[in-house]
Amino acid sequence: MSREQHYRRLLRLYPQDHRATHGEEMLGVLLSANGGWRDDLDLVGGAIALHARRVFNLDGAVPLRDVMAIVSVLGPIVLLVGAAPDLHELAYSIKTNSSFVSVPQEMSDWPVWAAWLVVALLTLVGARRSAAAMAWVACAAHVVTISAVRISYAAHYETIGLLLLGVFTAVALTWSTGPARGKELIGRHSVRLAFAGVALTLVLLIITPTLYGLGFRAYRMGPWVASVVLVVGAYLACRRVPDRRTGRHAAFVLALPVLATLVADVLIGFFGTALFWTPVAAAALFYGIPVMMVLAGNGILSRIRKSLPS
Amino acid sequence: MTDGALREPTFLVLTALAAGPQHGYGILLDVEQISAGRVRLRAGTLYTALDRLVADDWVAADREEVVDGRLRRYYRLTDRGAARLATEVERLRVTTRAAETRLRARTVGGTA
Repeated sequence: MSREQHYRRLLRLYPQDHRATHGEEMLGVLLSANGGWRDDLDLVGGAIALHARRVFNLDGAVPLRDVMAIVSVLGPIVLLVGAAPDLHELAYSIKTNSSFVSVPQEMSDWPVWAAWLVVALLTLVGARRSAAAMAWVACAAHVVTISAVRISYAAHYETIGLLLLGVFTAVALTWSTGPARGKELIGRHSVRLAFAGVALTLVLLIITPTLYGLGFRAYRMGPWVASVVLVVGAYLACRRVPDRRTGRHAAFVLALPVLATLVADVLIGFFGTALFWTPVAAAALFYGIPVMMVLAGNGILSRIRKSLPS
Repeated sequence: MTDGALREPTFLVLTALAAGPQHGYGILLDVEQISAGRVRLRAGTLYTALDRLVADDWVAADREEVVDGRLRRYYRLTDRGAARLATEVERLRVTTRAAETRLRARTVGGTA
């Protein structure tokens, strides 16, 4: 293999956009230099560093306003998965022919999901201001609901990611370039795909309790399969965005419910019940870590750091 | 934070471009010369640094030419990059002066 072929192979490790702009130029530099294994190692290190810069948007090439515009369209749709426990209760009552004398505790958060359904519909018909106002109402209702069930806080950490995505969506509806721009970027087909993904996730979450009949493992797997469907659905819905990186960053924000659950599971697995001895610290970790991950993943923390005076 | 100390490769690349536009291989040779052979940048490190410096608007692509069938892109220091380099030079000057003064005082103290 010639030196040129060898370097061309190594340059394939670089991000596509960098290769397109600097590939031939770098090849010229590499062939002019002496070469050797140190150059090879340095090339691999450079490729890793440049990929990391793109993953965390440190190059600032991903327009955050477009990311948030996509979140403003798809966020309200993804948030509908939060209605799964309520829909399960409803399905159960229909199956057993029982009627509600009062709303059961498991369904106490139904106004939150009803509000998000209204937000989704308002967004799709282009009523952005009303959608933004309703999104903040939904977030406030969610906070009230979580506060009301604070006594069984440990059992409700699954909804943290939904609340965080709710806030990001409300922010996106209020300050981004808006759902119209979001729809333009993802296309109508993607909206239908997002609805289909959410519907499938809901079905999986609703039938999860019945999986107990198949065994404990199947029962435990249910939510994780639903999470995978949700993340893949969000990714596919964002896939048609002309700039793929913008689409991937939007999908990352939309995956907040799954991300927050993963973080909570890792924290609980690591610290055990000791985590709940100081509820304020637990809440700071449960909410703070996913938020920091999304902010860092979109290069926002780096921008804030750069803007600070020394 | 923007006025924090520059990393040495960044400082040397900016210094290399302070005299005028240079292409990638030219920067590598110049950095080696500026550092009296102590620092030898390689292509991977150089282009990672350039990616960052271009994004920060400290360096910009100047022109392109084809030599022996290979593309050569020249880079130049922007006004922002020049200002940042000047700030860093001043920071180093202050630190160096303080170090010199103290070393001199130490020598005088030692002989007394």
